[in-house]
Amino acid sequence: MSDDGRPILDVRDLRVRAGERLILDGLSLAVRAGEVHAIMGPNGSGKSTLTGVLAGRPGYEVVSGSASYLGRDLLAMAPELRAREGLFLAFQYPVEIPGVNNVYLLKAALNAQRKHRGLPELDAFEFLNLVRAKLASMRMDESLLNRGVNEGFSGGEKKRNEILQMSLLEPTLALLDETDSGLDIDALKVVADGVNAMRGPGRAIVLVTHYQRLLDHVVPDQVHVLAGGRIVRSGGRELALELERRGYDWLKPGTAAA
Amino acid sequence: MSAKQPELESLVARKYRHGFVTDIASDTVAPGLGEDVIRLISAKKNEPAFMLDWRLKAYRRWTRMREPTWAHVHYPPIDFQAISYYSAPKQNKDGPKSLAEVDPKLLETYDKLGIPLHERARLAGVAVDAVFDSVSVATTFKERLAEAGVIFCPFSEAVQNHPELVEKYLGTVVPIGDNYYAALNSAVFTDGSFVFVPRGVRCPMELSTYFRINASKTGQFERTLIVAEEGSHVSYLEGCTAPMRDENQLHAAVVELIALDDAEIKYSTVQNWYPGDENGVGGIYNFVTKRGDCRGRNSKISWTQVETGSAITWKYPSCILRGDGSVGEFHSVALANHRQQADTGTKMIHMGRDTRSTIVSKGISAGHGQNAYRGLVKVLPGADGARNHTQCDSLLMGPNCGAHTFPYLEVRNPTAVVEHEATTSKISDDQLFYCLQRGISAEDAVNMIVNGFCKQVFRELPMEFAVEAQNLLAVSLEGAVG
Amino acid sequence: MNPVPVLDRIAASHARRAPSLAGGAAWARRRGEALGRLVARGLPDRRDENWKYLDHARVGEYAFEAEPGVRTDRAALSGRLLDVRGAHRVVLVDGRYDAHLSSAGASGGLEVEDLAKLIEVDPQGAISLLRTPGEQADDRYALLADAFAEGGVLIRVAAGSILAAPVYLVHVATAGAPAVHHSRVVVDIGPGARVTLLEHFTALGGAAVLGNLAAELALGERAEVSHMRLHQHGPAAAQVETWVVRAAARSRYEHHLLALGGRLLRSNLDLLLEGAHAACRLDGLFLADGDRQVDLLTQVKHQGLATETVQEYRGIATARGRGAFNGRISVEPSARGSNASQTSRNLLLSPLAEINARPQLEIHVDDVQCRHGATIGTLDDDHLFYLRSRGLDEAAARALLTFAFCRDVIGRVPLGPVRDAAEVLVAGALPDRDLIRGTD
Repeated sequence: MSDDGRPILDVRDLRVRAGERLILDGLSLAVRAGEVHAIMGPNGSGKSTLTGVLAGRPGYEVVSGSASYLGRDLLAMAPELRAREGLFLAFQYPVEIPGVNNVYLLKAALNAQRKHRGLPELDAFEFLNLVRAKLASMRMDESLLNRGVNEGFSGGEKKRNEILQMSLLEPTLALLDETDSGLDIDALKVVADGVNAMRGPGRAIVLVTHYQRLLDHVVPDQVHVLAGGRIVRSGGRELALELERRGYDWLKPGTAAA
Repeated sequence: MSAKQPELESLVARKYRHGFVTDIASDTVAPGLGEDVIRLISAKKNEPAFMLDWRLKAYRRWTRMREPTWAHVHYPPIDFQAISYYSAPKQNKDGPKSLAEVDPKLLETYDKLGIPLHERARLAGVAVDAVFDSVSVATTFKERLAEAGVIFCPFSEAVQNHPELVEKYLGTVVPIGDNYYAALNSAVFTDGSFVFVPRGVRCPMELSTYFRINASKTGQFERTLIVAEEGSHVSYLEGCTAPMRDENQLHAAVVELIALDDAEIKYSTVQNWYPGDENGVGGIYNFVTKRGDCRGRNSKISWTQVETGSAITWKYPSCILRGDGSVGEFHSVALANHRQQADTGTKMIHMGRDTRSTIVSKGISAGHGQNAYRGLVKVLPGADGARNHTQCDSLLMGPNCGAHTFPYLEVRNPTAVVEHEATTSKISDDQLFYCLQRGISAEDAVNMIVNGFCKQVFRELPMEFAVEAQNLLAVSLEGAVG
Repeated sequence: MNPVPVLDRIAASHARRAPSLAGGAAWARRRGEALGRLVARGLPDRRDENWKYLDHARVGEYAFEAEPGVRTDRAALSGRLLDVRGAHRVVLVDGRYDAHLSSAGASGGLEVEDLAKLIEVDPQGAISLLRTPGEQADDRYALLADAFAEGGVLIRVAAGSILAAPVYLVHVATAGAPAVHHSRVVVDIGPGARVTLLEHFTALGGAAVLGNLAAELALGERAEVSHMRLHQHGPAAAQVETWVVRAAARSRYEHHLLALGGRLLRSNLDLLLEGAHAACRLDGLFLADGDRQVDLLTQVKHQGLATETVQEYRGIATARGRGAFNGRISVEPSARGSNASQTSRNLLLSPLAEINARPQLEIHVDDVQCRHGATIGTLDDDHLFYLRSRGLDEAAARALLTFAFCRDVIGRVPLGPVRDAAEVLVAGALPDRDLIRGTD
């Protein structure tokens, strides 16, 4: 639970443009500590835009509205500052970066965060022990440490790598962008277990997903439907099941949130 | 038994009358170049004052320039004073009276190339009167174009009927002082094409067909100007798959293309530079300055060419990507068989922001042919976000031919991405055997493989010419695989 | 900026110095002829195709008229050297062999000979060992070196010798005032011999010195050479080098160029794959930082049957740096069954930097596989964002990606200390550099 009961993430009436198109059109969302929110919506509804804007991805223009993180103006912070302050984005399409080792990135990211918080950096042994434990829990092989970031990884391996990073960095706000897409049932279970292991009183998790099957394994506290650039409906878990049955058409933009 | 073909006259061997001729009515002007000759040309063509002024300015500039020399191109020295700069269209009184008098081998070529019957006579030089249909066909085209507001006429007609347009755009892409041959051309150009497509108009037909029917004998100094106003679209084709037996070994033409905002110009060239015979040395020297100015935002200019035979080109079709978001394209197939030399290439100059260029060059070398690609991609400091992709592929057929790639990549903007790739390959024995084993003749197999190789370029041609271009390659490759 | 044309200064300097140079009449004639041919043709300029991107004015700024004064400060030099255990050290100070600073003696098939001494005692013999440069533009600086040739070194590795330790050839410029020095290097690797040759260009003091090196290397049949060239000159120094390499049948030549220092580098490599089944791997990396200009020319000619080239060059230009890659591969009709591939990838990282690339292919026979590719671009935005989203600040992310760009090429350099030097220069002060390399 955050100190004064205010949300970890508080988005108000956000309007965001990419090029000529207005993609988010008055989106509001509040996520409190300990909560898992799911955001669902048809393709092109702006799900990736939302997570991208919150993480600081270039190419978006915030037209109006606000987003605060732990009471601070999130949109004014550089991407690396957001990361060091505990915001983590698990990408829908993690990039491959040949020539940059996985282990280097993990260590650099972790130490950057620790340094920012005034904590001592980990030395090689401490770090490797920590990483090994996490690798085991994600059922990933140690050999990937020395390969380039996501280099030659299958889709499922890339997604698990994202979760591995997340578990190592222990974020306060985790945004997972369609983490379940392209995964077979076994990989899905491993990923879901990884996410569930992250649930806790000090942490907020936002799951962006198109299909509801991830939500069978990671049960959300709230489900929101994103359509036409804004949240058109909110509800509990049953909302996800209803969407599964009926699709998205029955929700016209403008319907009041529950 | 063959009828007399127009003889290939070498520049050096020509004989002309001497003395200055004042009679405007006569057909030709004595050889030599001076201001008086230019005034005479302009008078004969009945040009307005601005045109004469322009020619004179170009001439004066030319006299102060020096002829460029090129280490790898050798041609007999040109005596510019020995050339006659004006002659009225030939009547061909000595030509064949009908197709029956035409060399059967030539007719066979027309057949293989798939050239329509009604065009063969004209191409073989049969007197105009004997040809039916061309007048009526021409009239239909003219009507359709007039309806759309498109102007398409010989350059000299444009000078008469649309002087304000000519004055506005002429020389704005290739200025008179741009290079030696452009200056000469600007002074003494005889004719060419003028195309103007008004705002928002999509030209209703390929300007190829119309051009072919009215193709007059290719002059040495042709001038072409194509202007596409905002949001318009035009596709233009020059050349002909029929063998270009030309008495002029040296061509110094200028082609200027201007595309304004959101306009698109497609310029295609299909040329068969016929060098004479299997041992032909020296071919056509093609000092053509072809330049497209993507003046407007999101404008697009595409150059597509299929060339066979021997042609040494000095200047290469280029695109100035000036307008933000403008696009330049170059697609080329060059085939050099026997002892031919082909020299093709392009220049893409990125100036505006977010400009894009694509270059696809396919070279086929057979016999003792030599194929060279020369290209320049230049990104100037202001060209943020420029993107270029170049693909040069060479297909070598036989142990005696050559393929060469000489690109220049010059980049001065850190947000640009320029990529160049070149590969060489041969038709493998395995590929050939596979086809033979499926009952396909070696010749057909080669044609199939070559067509696959060139597909990316053929796709860009106006439809009727894609078929002719394929036939042209087949004819040109005859005997290449043995 | 000296207003007197370079060629005039060269001629004047030659007139002053030549009479006192060793080698008697034979060498006087040789030097005189070289100068004559050079003056007749002139130094290359922008109109010469392979020289169009070089800033010739900048070359002309160097003191072609001055005589290099030789200072040898042993202590200072050892601080500049790489720690290559047991290496056979061959040191050229301002172009002249220095026996005191060198450690290589005749051993295990290695022979090192002072060219200056040889010119004195056996002028004709010395002449017969040196290549005579041609008159084409690309060879003019070698002609220049010959016109002033008075020092250098001959390195021979006997047939069949496999040297355990590398030969460490150091070119150190010590002149305290602006100067130009010339040197000649001849390397002869006997059939079946194997050697690692590390060439290192460095300087003591920051004077504006230009070194002009004309060198040749011959690989006998089945010989194997791994040749590293590390350019680490100071910010005012310049280097022009002309290397001519001939590879006999079944020989293997591996080349690693690391152009990471100096104000100007013009490097020519002319490689002839003469014998059947000769193979070469050419790696190169240049970093044109600050005000630096790096101008590279490689010309590989495939003559023998089934010869092979794999060429991978990486270039980085930042600040006001300028880089040019001219890379020609030609395959003659006699080279049936050959393979050649060439890749030139370049990063342009700032608005005032410039990169020019001219990869060229000349193929004269069909039974070959050849390809080349060149790219000029910038760091990938998605990659940058990914790293920043993991907490790396922008500068660190850029440095890391820049290093990743060169990683393969640096990784293939056979000697650790050389790799380290390259890494430091390219990756700047990235933390935990060992982790960047991964398993090495």
